[in-house]
Amino acid sequence: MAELGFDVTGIRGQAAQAAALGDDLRAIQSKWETATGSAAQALGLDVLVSAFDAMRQAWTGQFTVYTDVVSKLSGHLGTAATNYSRAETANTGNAEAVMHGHLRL
Amino acid sequence: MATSAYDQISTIINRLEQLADLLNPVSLVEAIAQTISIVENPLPGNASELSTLASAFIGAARDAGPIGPDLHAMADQKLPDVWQGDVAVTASQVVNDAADLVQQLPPAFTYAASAIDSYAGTLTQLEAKRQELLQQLYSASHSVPNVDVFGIDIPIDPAEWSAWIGAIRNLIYGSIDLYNELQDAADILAGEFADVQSKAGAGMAVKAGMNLTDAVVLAATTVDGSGLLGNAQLTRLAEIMGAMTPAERARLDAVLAKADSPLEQAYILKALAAGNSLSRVVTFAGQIRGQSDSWLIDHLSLGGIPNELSYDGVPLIQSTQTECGSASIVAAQALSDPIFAYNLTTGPHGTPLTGTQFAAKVAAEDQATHNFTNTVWPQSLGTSPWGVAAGMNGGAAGGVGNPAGPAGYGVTWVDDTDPRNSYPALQQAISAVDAGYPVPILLAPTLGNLGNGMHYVLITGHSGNLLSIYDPEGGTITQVPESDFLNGDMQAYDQGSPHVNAVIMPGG
Repeated sequence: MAELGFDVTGIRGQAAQAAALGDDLRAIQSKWETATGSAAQALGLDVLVSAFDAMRQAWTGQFTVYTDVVSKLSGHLGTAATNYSRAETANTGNAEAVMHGHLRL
Repeated sequence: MATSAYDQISTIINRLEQLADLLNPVSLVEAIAQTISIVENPLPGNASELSTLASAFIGAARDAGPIGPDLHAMADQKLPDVWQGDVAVTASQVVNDAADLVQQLPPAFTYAASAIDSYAGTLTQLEAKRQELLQQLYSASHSVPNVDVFGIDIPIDPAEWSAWIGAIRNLIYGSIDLYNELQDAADILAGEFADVQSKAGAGMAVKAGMNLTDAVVLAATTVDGSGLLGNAQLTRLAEIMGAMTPAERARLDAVLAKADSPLEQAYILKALAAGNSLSRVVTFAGQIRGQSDSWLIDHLSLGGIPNELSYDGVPLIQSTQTECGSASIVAAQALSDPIFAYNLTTGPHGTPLTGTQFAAKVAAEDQATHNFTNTVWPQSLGTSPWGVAAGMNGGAAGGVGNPAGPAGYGVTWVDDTDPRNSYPALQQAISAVDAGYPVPILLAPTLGNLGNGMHYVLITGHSGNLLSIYDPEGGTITQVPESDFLNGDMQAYDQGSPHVNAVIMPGG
């Protein structure tokens, strides 16, 4: 690992951490959306319902931005860890090939 | 219960006012019956369900609280450079910006919960008041003497009639107050919802078609705690970027990639959102490349001194007694378009101006704006409200980039001594400010005054319960309680001209 300068295990840990934060955000969003989905009767007046719905829609979009960023980060980190791991394996293989005289570097 | 139309409440108020005005011994019983038929309907809304709704916001605020710091902690770790977005950014920057945005949720949701709870409390009080009024009306209906309208005269003491009419009129006025208070509370809550909505800029920008990374980075870029691009500009930017050809987009991406900082990138995109051509924006990007954040803020936001619009220690002020309207337009342009601000603070080859040179340039801009806005109206009388609207839409320097869309800015007259008349317009003005539009307002010593003492100021921001108001007389930005503005009581802000006579409203 140290030879390539990447801590593959660490990056996998970061990917998992990002995924967990994404799960937390999705759970909060889902709970909030369910609890606020039928506010018309509580609010009563049409002007309040439309203002509330506009606010709720905007924040639904904002939640989606949060979760998309974290999901994207998690995905990128996972891919990076896989790529680094493959490079590391190839590097190890190359070293072994050199050792056994199969490959010239 | 289905929702009730807000206008229906206005109709009820009008009907009750007619009943109160026409009270006489013959109409008394019928008036009580009609008032009862109105007041016996429960008020729209449910206080208990509102409290449950508020709890949902409190719960989400509490649960999301730790996530922002957790994301910041992740960004502070050594993250590999894995991010691939359309703006040249590192993974750490995107995660840090996203963390900043997540941290905006708890205060916004707590504010929403508090607003809903407050409305629930008002609704409970008003419902109790309604029931009390109803009991009094029932009681009156059983006690009030009737009059035989078919000619049989019932001898009743006139003083007794007068007392009955007075009592019933008081009950009807009490009912009118009840529905007025309900509308006032609803107006305030609707404004508070718009305020909370304005904090969700990234989501709105993505909805308008902006790339995720761009939206996060831009929404998180703030100057003095406020987003550099308001939601209206973010939405407009999304539309502009969405309409670009691949070649145009590549050209924009190339200049963004060369920018030295996220703030530099944000100013480039703000210039695009303000309606400048891509070629002009590319030139501008080259002019500001490599400048420090403080240089950018000083020159492009005139933000060198807190609570003032100024450059090199010189405030942006009106040049003559009659140019408060012109200076308000110039200030709005400077706040909306960084290329306009750049031209105010630099010479032909980008050389920074001195404060004195800046003052001279502002004076020339004020005069050019005044010439543009006053084609008929005498300049000695200042600027007419429709002149200010024209200046905001496309003044000497091109207005504020026509950010209000095809409708542009228009004049909304206000009678701030009649809260019911002024509330919707003033609340709409605050919502426009929440969306990122600067909003000029006309203050005057008395209503309908378009002469002596008339003074334009510019609402530049809204945070919590405070409005930021720029005064071209001194260049200062003062925090004013929004309730003062909504209640038509601007005495504390401007003793000489406390009345809001007109609002120059985007889309108005």
